[in-house]
Amino acid sequence: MEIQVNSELLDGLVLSLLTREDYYGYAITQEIQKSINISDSTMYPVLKRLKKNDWLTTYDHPYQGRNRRYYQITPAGTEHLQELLGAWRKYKLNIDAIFDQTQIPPLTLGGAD
Amino acid sequence: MANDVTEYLAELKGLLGSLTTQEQDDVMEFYSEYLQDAGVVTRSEVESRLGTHKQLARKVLADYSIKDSQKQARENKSTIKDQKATNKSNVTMIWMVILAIASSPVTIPLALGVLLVLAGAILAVLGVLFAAIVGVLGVGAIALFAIYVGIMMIPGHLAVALFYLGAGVAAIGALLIGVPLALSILSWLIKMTALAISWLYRKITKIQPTVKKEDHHEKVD
Repeated sequence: MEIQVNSELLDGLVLSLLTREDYYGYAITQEIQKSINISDSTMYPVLKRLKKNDWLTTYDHPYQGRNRRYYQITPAGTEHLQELLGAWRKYKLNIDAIFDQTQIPPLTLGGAD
Repeated sequence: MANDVTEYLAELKGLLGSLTTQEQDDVMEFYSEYLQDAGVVTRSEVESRLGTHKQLARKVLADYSIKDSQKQARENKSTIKDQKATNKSNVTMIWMVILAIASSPVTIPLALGVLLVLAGAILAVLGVLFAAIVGVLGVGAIALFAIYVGIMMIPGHLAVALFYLGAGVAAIGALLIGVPLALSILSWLIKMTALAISWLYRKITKIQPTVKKEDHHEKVD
């Protein structure tokens, strides 16, 4: 079973990627899909939203006679990402604080508990 | 670009007519580039990644509609003309999402559940509409009747006539207040339904990607 990634988290993952280097659309999707299970048609609305909020910009670069559109993080995007990272770390701590206290009774051979 | 891919893209574009030219170009640019980078050649390869051109188009349109509805919800328009436009776009969006859900590979129980919820919401809206119409007609009839009686009473029973006339005018006053109020409530109901649907839609499209990638690495965690 899998836990869904919500759209804010997706925003953060893409922005985080872009702090390492500029990526084109297909490469972003591939990279994210290495770790989480999203469909190929999920990325377009995410990138569109990020661009709309001015957290990234795009530029075109010719490749093998056609165009490739590259995505680049903006300073505003970096700021937003840092906020997201802060929120994520807090969230992670809070969830773990609960899960770490889980008590699953240990299995004993042939014995009732 | 392979024939199948060009065809798919052309078919996709054909379904995006309700978007602005700029939006259409953005979508086409993205997916055209995407498919070329993916190196897919046959239609079934394309569809295994993006779904059919219809499914993809509906997803794109639903996403744009949702954005518009959210934008309008934020801008909080209030004149009657604006309300009508907002209602229309909300209803359009609800319809787009229904189509998107109906055409995506959702499990039948889930799709049925969603459609039933939708049906319930739509019935609620229609119910309110019906009640409002009945109410308006009823009060209107009472107002007219009271005024008629009032006029008839003038020769001879002036005080009583004034009473009836007053009641009639008061009823008309109530109508003038009540009708815009009912319309506002209706608009609000439609807006809430639209927001609920778009929330549902986002949940559903996250629950099931159009294709599960089988060859992922094991997650480290």
